[in-house]
Amino acid sequence: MAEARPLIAEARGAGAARTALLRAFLWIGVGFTLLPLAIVIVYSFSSVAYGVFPPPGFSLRWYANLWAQAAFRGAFLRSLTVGVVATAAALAAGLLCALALVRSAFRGREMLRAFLLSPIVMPKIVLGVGWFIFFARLNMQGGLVPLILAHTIIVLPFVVTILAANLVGLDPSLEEAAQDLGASPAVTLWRVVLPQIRGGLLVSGLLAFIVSFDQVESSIFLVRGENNTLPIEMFLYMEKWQDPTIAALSTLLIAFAGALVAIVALAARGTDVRRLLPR
Amino acid sequence: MALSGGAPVEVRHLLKRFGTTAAVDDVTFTVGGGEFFSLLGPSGCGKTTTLRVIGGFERADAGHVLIDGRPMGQLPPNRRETYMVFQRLALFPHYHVFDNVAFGLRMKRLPEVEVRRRAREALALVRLEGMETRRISELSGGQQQRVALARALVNRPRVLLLDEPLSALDLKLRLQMQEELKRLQRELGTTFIYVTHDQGEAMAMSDRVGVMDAGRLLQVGTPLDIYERPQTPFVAHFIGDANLIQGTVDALEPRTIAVRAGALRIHAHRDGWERLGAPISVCIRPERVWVAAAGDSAGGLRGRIEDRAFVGQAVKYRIDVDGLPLRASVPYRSGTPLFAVGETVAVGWDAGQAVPVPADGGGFEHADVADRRDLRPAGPASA
Repeated sequence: MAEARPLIAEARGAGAARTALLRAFLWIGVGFTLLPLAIVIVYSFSSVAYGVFPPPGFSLRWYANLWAQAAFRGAFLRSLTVGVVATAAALAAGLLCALALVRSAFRGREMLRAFLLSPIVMPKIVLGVGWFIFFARLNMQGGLVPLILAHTIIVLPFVVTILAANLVGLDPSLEEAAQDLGASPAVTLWRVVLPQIRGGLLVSGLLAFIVSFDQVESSIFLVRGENNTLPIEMFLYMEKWQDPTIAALSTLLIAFAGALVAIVALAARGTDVRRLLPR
Repeated sequence: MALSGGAPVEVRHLLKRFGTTAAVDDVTFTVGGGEFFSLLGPSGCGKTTTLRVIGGFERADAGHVLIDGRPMGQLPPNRRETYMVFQRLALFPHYHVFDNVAFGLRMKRLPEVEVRRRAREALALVRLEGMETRRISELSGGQQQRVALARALVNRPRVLLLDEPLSALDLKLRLQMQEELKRLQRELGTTFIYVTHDQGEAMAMSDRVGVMDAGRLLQVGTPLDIYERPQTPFVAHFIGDANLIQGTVDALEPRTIAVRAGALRIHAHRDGWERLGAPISVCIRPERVWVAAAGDSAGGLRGRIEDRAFVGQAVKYRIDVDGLPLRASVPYRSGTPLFAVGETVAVGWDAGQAVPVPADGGGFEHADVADRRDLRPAGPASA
């Protein structure tokens, strides 16, 4: 007993040290993530055109400059359109894929699952080159349709993974009960399945939209000068100018992303978000 | 609530395979309109699969289901007159109680006034008035059970399928719900097909019971029939407690048979199908075995008490009778002395209470059981 006490104290000390260490790592990680964003935000209010930090003074001139750039406005609307349409298409297709993967057993199911997830591991540049050649053959270069199709494929794995995980946790007898009570399969999907996986739809939709909005590597092969998406337009601007206009735009995009997450978090209240985690 | 008029259900040579095993193997039975029929068996015996085929949730590999004389074919569940109460209840968690109950009526596109009236009626029927706007998660297990019942009954089903609906409830609530189910079934006149592994539940509620094992329907009859005249050793064991003594028929007498089992020669009721020299099992319920002090001149066999358990209303003995293990359940009355472990006692039974069971499981037809019962001797102990 006499020996046990120091041992316990030692263990307690080690526990405290471990907790402190973990806490330190956490804050280092948070700082590492947030600091560049903070720098961008501060920089966007700079009063001068050259890159110096901290800025010698503050102004809103770069926001004014941003407002004057019609190219950004057009690119933003294009990115928004592509993101929304691709997300909607991926949600519709992904829901059906996830239902098939979870609810029915068929030959080649695991192969289909791997195939549906493959765009995640495929280098986007390679996909972009492939699509470039493919759409050129079809005489479909330029315009938003190739972009939307490509983005749908790129975001599909996220939707399928999250919705499949969500559906696994759903008791199949709920669907049977609905059918037993007279609901057709379509009505069952609409009135019983979809309300149950609301959280998964919202979260996977958000993720899909952000991935699409952010997508550069393969998009670059599918746009022409007149239909650049926002990230590409930003990249081109940076090649010509190094003023804080891009920082101003980035600040707005951070606010935009934050607002999206807040809206989804609000809408997903009451859903079981734990079920969204992969098994 | 208006009577729905239960529809008769006929199941003919049903076969359902999962992979290479037959989950349901040539099952045939008929349920009368308004009858309370139970399918009873251990888990994996095919009872739930049979029920799911009747409801349209599984496709049979062969055989037919007829409801009200009409073959169901491949009709999906939403186009059958059957309604199901699921084992896990399957209440819609995103609807409150009223919308759960109203779901089926809304699917029928009834006017909302009618929906409200009938859903309220159904909730009253299961004694859940005033709970309309509760969330499902706020209800107790028994209340959820009632919502599941109301959700099915509100559609005035002609056939209600129940898949072990009470298995999640504790014993007291289960007994209470059994009575409730029986009352509802009587009041509504709906045909109930009830699946359970609990023989007490099946016996207590059913007009008739079908006992299943390994995909096959072994015996169909009233609870009394099945208890008194098990047709296979499995049924004898599954329904109540049973001593099954295997032997060969040694002698045929007018009302009894003698069976040679090892060193013993015992007597049992004669049903008429027994053949001299053929293997046979004799089923003796422990509660039909009497135990007396060895010194008494009561006759019977000599045995040694191996084990004793006092359970209140009865004393249960395990007795060794010349190498034959025999269980006896003797009604207990205050003041009666108990026999001690190791004590030598006399045991016996009324030959008329010892039932012959075909050793191979197929020996006599069920239909004449009722006629034969009259033949049973009411004489004194003759073992």
